[in-house]
Amino acid sequence: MDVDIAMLGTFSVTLARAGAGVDEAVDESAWSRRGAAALVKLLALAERRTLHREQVVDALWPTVPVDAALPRLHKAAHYARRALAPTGTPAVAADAVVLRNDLVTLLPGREVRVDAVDFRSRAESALAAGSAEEAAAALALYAGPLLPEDLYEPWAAEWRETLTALHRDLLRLAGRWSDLVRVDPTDEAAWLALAGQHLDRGDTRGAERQLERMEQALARELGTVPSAEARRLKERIGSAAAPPGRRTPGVRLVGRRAAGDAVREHLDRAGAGRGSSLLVTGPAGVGKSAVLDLATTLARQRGWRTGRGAASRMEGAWPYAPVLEALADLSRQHPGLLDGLDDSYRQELDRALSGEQAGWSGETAHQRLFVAAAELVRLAASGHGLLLVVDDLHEADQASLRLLHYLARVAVAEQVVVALGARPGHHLRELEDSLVTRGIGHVLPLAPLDEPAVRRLVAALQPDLDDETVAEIWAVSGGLPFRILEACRTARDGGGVALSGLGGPTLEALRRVALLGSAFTTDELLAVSGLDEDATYAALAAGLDTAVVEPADTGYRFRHALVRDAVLDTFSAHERSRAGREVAETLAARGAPATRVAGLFLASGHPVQAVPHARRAVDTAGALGAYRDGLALIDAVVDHATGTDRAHLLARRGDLLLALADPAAVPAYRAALSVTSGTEHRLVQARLARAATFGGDLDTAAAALAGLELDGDAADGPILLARGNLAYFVGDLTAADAAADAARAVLSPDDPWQIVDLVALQGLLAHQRGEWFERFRQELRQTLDDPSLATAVFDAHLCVAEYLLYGPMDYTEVIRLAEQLRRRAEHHGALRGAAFATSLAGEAALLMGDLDRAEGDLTEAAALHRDVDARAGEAHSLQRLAEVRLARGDRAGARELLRRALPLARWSMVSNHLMQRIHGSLIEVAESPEEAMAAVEQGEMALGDTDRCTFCDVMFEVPAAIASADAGELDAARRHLDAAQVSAARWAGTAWEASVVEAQAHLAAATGERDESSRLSALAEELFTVAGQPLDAARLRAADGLASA
Amino acid sequence: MSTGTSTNTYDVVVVGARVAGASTAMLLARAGARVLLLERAEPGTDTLSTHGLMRGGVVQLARWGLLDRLVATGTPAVRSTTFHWIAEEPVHVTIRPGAGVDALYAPRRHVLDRLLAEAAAEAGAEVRHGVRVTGLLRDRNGRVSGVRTEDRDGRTGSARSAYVVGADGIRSVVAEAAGANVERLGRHASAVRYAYVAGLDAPGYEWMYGDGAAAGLIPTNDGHHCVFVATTPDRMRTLRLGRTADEAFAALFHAAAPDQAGRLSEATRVDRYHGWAGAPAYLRRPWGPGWALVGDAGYFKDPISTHGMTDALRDAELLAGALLVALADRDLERPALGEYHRRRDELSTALFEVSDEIASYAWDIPTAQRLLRRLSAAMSDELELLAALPSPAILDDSPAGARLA
Ligand SMILES: Cc1cc2nc3c(=O)[nH]c(=O)nc-3n(C[C@H](O)[C@H](O)[C@H](O)COP(=O)(O)OP(=O)(O)OC[C@H]3O[C@@H](n4cnc5c(N)ncnc54)[C@H](O)[C@@H]3O)c2cc1C
Repeated sequence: MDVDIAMLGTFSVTLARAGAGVDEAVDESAWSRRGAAALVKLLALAERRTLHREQVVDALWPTVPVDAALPRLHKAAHYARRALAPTGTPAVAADAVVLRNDLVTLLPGREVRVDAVDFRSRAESALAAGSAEEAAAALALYAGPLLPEDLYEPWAAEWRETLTALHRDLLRLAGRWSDLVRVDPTDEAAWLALAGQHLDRGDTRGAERQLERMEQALARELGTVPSAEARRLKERIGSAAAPPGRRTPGVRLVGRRAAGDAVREHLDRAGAGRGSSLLVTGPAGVGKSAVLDLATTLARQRGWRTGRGAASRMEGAWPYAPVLEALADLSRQHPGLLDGLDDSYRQELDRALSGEQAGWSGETAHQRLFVAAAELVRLAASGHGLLLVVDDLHEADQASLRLLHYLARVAVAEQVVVALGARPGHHLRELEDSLVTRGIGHVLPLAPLDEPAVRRLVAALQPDLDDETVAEIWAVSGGLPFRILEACRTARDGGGVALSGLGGPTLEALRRVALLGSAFTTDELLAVSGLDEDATYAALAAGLDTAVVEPADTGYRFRHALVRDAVLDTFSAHERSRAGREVAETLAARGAPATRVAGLFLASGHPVQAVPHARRAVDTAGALGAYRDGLALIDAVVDHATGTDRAHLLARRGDLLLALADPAAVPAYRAALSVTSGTEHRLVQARLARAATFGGDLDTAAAALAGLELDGDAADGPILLARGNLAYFVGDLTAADAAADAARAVLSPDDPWQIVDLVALQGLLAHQRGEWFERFRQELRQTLDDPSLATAVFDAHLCVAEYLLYGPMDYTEVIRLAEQLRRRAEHHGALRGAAFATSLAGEAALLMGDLDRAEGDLTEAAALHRDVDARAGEAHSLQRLAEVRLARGDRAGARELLRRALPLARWSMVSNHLMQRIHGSLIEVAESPEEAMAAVEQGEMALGDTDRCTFCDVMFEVPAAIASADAGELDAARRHLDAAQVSAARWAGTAWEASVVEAQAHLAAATGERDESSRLSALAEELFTVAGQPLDAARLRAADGLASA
Repeated sequence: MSTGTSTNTYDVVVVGARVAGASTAMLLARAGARVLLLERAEPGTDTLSTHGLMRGGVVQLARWGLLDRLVATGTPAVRSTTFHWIAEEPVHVTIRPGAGVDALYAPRRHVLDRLLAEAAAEAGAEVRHGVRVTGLLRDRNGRVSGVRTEDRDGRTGSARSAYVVGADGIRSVVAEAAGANVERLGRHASAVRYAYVAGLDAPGYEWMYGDGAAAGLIPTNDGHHCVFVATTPDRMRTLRLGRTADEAFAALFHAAAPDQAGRLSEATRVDRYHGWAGAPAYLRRPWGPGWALVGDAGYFKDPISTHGMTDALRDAELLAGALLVALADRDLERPALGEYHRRRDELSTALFEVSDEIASYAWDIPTAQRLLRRLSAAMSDELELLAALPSPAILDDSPAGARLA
């Protein structure tokens, strides 16, 4: 054997040393050139280790034309040879990779063993023979999945899928069921076989637990349900537990007629195509869940589909968990729906649903999950309607609230009701306000029952109680249905609160498991109870007997949040802290999601122990777009972290803030600077520079980049981008261009957001040169052809898109293009692109005078930008919306919108474009010439002299000139007019020429040249008409009419 | 076969032995009814169809224990559906195991229809091919009491039965003779052309929606694909002017999916083109005294839904269940068949409306996507209904029930 190539579980090459009989592994560092390693891997898997060179190019550089890729192939071959022929290993000479006659061959004429290839042939013959022994032998060769470090390389996909499938088939053939469920937790047959093995041994409990695990695993995948066979087996085992029923079945809601009416009204309206949201609030025990139950019942009566989740199920669950739970519940009931759901959406939902650890590069992620959830909602609502319920929202993560807000907006145009339940509280205020002020939802506060209602309820539950007892119940219950129910139970059973009946060990087991959340599985109870198996089962039985817990769809749950609270309240502070720590450690050992473990450590006061878990949880949060939750987690642990943990957390803090476009990203990165090292340090420097540049702090940016060289690592792209951005802002366009070109060469298309940043930078550069129009058209065309570029629409295009809009453009065409763009961007989960396209359509509608459409699109665009935390876009949409209001004569409304837009615009990459426009509009909405002048002065102060986009100047200068002229401030008017003319010269052939003429007319009027003024007005009117802006033309006509009247 | 006696020779005569008729006959016979199944064509003939079964249809075959046989005929498994929208990203949906099936199938009709007719015969139905039903017999009260027949050689006859089921397709003689009212009529109609081709690389269903036209690729037996194009009858006619059949087909395919059109050139056509000129959809009243309709005879929707067979397999079971009740107790005829009527209509509304709207070819892509969403949602409802039907065990081949009197 000359060479041994390992590709399973890891990648390594071992060379036999000639004569010496010693093997030498090629050092990992020799593979730092990705191209070289990829070439060796690709060829190693090929038949006779040979491929046509075009096949190689297609596989490794699919987006690069063949002639451009050939030099890369030669380079990769060169480095591969170097790697395979380290000094002292003459055994493999320079002919390790041979390019001859258009063919590329790896190690021709040598004896090479490739583990993946060996495994494949052994596996195939074992399966063909149907031999369990051969299967076991083949399995011994399987050291892990193929090339785990190349998980997303398309060229490895086919082999990986084949090997994974072979591996599973072998496990099946060999009867290695527990291994099989580990690699494929949804393999029902394997679970049933495992359960069967337990049964054969007479171990019913064990069998039941296998089934519970199976249910849990299936619940993590959209729309999978246990088969009839599994259900039959479960029934046969005869679980002691009664089938899951909702709490307090059979009790009609008392004293909640208004709530019932509200629910019906929402369902009625949604049935007519106008969906909405209903947030049910009230203190614990007031009956929110019962109202949501009622909503579910009413919806089902109408034949609607329903899905339900709750945030309390799991303490510290992963991002979006309660919303995903509701969607999963929906899909479980209606798995057939998934036949109509795009695979990529399904995968996105599955990934989020699994709660699995996700890696994060630190760059803003796609909002694909939002789009996926929305598509499932639309699909489920088709035909009859959909009720989506999420309860206990007060315990939900921020990410869930954002997703719900998005879905609430989607609901508006569908037959959808989103019903939410929460205790009132501060962190819901924003959601509440937003639902109400946007008119997309209502808040339904539930008050405790009054005395007659309490009496009716008691009479329904316990008809024969004497008056005195009833009065007492009314007094102690405070009108809370939960307490009334408890009191009635007590009166009936003669015992105290259910808990007092629990023995010491039972209580201990239950309160420990209560730390996990309101629901738990048997496995979890066994793991954390602190008791042996028999005692744990006894405790569970006691809990069920006393109705402290009850069976749930999978596993068990506490009967009510307040019962769980009562159980937890039996802990002393000290006991709770210790138990919390033990339980967290147990969970960690069981491989529970990092978010959960970190949450438990934190909740029990052990931040130091939480650190390593928080570190991983933050990455998951970042990858799923749950930035605020990630930040909260960092804040909770960072002061207790040391070393690389601390460094990583500090760097992530900057990333999360930058993703949120929060100016605090600058100090955050600064703090990370001194503790990080290596690539992470370089990334921090690059990102600090980027954040500082956007914030206008160019000195900091320059300092951060000083002395930073390219190093062939993952930081190169971000460094080049940061350089480019900085150069652009200091006005060195040549350097910016060079940096952008260099960045284009290193950035990997896997990180679309970096590409987007790059496109933005190049857009700005083109803009500066006045070539943007062409460029945008070109990009627009490209995004329609090349889906991977669909994300290339971005804040930076906002101002430059104006050029397109003010030009002699067919607005209907713009709207059509924008709509296409929007759908495409949505499909790719690029909600930012979708938001941009929506505002573009709205602006075109505004300019062509279709105010209703403009209002609709721009309102939507503002909300969409807000959902994805894109401030500049939101500000831009609000400013445009203000223009709509102004055109409708609603000055106050317009001012209010501009007031909201201003702080959002200030800190954004495009603030130097946006601010002019907002201040320009502020002048236009003024009620009097004096107010207008005040607005001009404020604008001048705020805009300053630096950092102004000469294109966008006109948007401030024209209204400033008009206001100054109207106020009789002739000098100021002339000054602004001059500036406007300079800027407008760059907008040749656009409506801005008309605007400048309009300003000239005002100046002429102010200097008493009435005829000249009329002439100019008429000219401006004509120019606006030519440019296709009827509103402006009409405005001038009206003003003319007034003047002559 | 003519009988001189006044008693019924059969519980049910089923007219038409394809998806609707053969399945109904099989289910009735499995439950012990005396069934005569009449079909004017010879066994194993083809009929107009692009073959695509949806999950609901495959579920029925599986529930009836026939899926294994279908798979054994070499009909390829379809495990994905791809939707191509003009100027948009294609949408790819993997068919995952669910509702007891893990793939879809698009068998040639000479395969599927024969298989069903054989299953009916195995279950005990008397199956006669080459016999045409020419009219209905009625008793004194005007109740339908059997059929008049004519065989290949022009010999006429009759057969008496408690019920006559018309499963005789879109030009149903039974519906006509029974006077079944049309209760709902569609407004549009697709004209369809299709051909079988070899050498196409398309392992799943592919549907294409483009510029006023639709197209599809459906993998069927013998390594062939059924490739179809569809549009309005007017456009189909004009397209053919001055063009060869191949050119017209290619032009329409291109209109439906410009960026997929190149794939056709990889493939070779293996027989002539088949054409369907289009007919508006209808829902007929599906029963009356002594008679009932199933499949296209009672409910025809535009073929663009590729759902006709799936619905026929669904309704066969609903009707068989209702007839068994009515056979056991005549007093229950009205509620049982009324319930069949109601359920058929309830499950068909969305499919009916959506396929009618698609058949207008006046949609833009967002509208078409919304329509397709409704179609998916309706199929989901259909699956849930099938899942809730009584377990197929009672429909087992074994003559479980005593023969009905
Ligand atoms: C162009 C086209 C493409 C289609 N593609 C699909 C598709 O991809 N998927 C899908 O699910 N559906 C498709 N359909 C619809 C599908 O073909 C029908 O819904 C289905 O065939 C209906 O089955 P049936 O048993 O009711 O009637 P038919 O298949 O029409 O069978 C009726 C039978 O009754 C017999 N018969 C008629 N009159 C008499 C008589 N007087 N006496 C005795 N026998 C008689 C006929 O010979 C015939 O065999 C398509 C339809 C068309 C037109």
